[in-house]
Amino acid sequence: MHWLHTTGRRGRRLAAYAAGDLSGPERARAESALAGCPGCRHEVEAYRLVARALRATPRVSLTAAEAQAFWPEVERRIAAGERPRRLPARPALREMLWDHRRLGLASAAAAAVLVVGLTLGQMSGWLHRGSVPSNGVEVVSVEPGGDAPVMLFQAPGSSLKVIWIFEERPSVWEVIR
Amino acid sequence: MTRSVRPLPGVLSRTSLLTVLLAVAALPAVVSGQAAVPLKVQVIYAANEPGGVDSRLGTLAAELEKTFRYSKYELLDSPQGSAPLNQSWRTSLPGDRSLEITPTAIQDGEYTLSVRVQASSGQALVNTRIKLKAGRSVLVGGPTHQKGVLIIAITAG
Amino acid sequence: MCKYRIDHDLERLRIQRRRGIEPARDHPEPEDDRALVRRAQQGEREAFATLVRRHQDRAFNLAYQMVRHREDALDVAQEAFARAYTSLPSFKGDATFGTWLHRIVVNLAIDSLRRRRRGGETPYDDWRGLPEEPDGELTAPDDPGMALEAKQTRALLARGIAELPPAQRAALILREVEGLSYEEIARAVGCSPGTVMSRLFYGRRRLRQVLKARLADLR
Repeated sequence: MHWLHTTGRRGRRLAAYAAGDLSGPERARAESALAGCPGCRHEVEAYRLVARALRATPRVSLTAAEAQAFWPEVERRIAAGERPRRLPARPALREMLWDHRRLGLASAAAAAVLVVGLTLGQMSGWLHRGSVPSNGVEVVSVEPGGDAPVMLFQAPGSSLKVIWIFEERPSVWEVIR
Repeated sequence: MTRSVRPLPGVLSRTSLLTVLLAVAALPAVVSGQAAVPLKVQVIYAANEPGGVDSRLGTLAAELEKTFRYSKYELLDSPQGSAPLNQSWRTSLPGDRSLEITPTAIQDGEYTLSVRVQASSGQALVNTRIKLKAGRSVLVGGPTHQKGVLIIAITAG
Repeated sequence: MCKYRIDHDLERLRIQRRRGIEPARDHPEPEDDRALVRRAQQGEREAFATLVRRHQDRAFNLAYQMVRHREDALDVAQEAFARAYTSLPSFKGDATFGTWLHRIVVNLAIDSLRRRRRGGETPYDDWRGLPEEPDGELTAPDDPGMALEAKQTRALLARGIAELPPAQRAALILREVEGLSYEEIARAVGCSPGTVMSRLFYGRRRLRQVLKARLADLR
């Protein structure tokens, strides 16, 4: 059995195993496979050190003075009301229409409904309800491939419709001989 | 002075006329079947790193900035080609991926395209059908690339 | 095709117990938080104040791990609660208050990072030399040499985290520092567990490269 050490899905397997993200039979199989691959064991050890280093990150706390002043400052900000009335789109994601398997969109109006905050802070879109102009672009249907979810959105003020793909979640044993 | 219209000669001529009419009726289909749809793709690298907006993106840049919050947009490639109806045009994408576009209909200046983005394994990341008016673009994005993502702008006509 | 089965409960508890954190669970939510949210939604300011006091330390820690700057972290955490208060009417309760707050903190932290970048400061500015070292456990309390090594490793790690894209940074912090499960992280940041897994992988791989030399030294 041969593992590619640093790239692709095999690398992901190593990283996931090292981080303790595998369990049960998959973990047992990983351990059995590692027994015959010294290079892989080296990779796993490296990822384990990364995980340990991360988990050893010191936790920070508010000082007593900061803790005492915290709520009054929050109150001041609430009273000042200096923030937008709406939060960014991400908290509204639970309202979005998201079918992992298929998005069948019959019309431009339907196609324009979905706005999704996909990567943290990367999207400036807002959740739209109702129809928006097609602007000469209509997404008739979208079908994700494999397990990769796909989302459709259009930011307000932009003429662009966006079909966004999430990379496929790797299969653990796809390439192990 | 009246001009008399000569009646059509007999059956043979009517048949010939019918044949011509049928041929003319079929002509748009034949022409459409052979018409190649111009396709233009811009492969863009978007990331949160220094770099700003690539000036080669032209008017697309403003739309990207309205849609996303990346700090860098770089045009990696801008392949162009064409494909007749129901035939595919393919181009490679970074990360051993590929893009396949198949025009399936043309009507009133609007193109229907089947678009498929494929991973290196051959598995489709997405299959989508879109209708684009000539000159309009749609974006397909999300596959990771270096420190950011790929955004692919597809324009027809 | 096999899927990952994530033993998130056990691993999360392991991480949190190691860190001395009381485990946070999305289900069942402490009754207190739900009741406090309801009262706050009905206008009881003191109920919200109780929620703030209960969650402020954790929000601050999360903000700090993201932005690695104490003043900015304080600003982010306080602003997060202010926004949460403003948006209370839209909070439906299908996630816990803590998870909901996580999302707000992470998003504001990323905005804060972006503002710093636009201002010409790169995240690396914070990491010249050793970053501010908060009080925390030392991994090697007895041996000064090992203590210094640990400190240097943490500095390298901090630098590496600072260079990660915000999405990967958030996923790593929520997983390895806060001990959230993949599903909890997905709810907190608004993406799929599959995307969380991708971000964790790319983040871990980059940190592994950053620590490569250090890892070689330590072997």
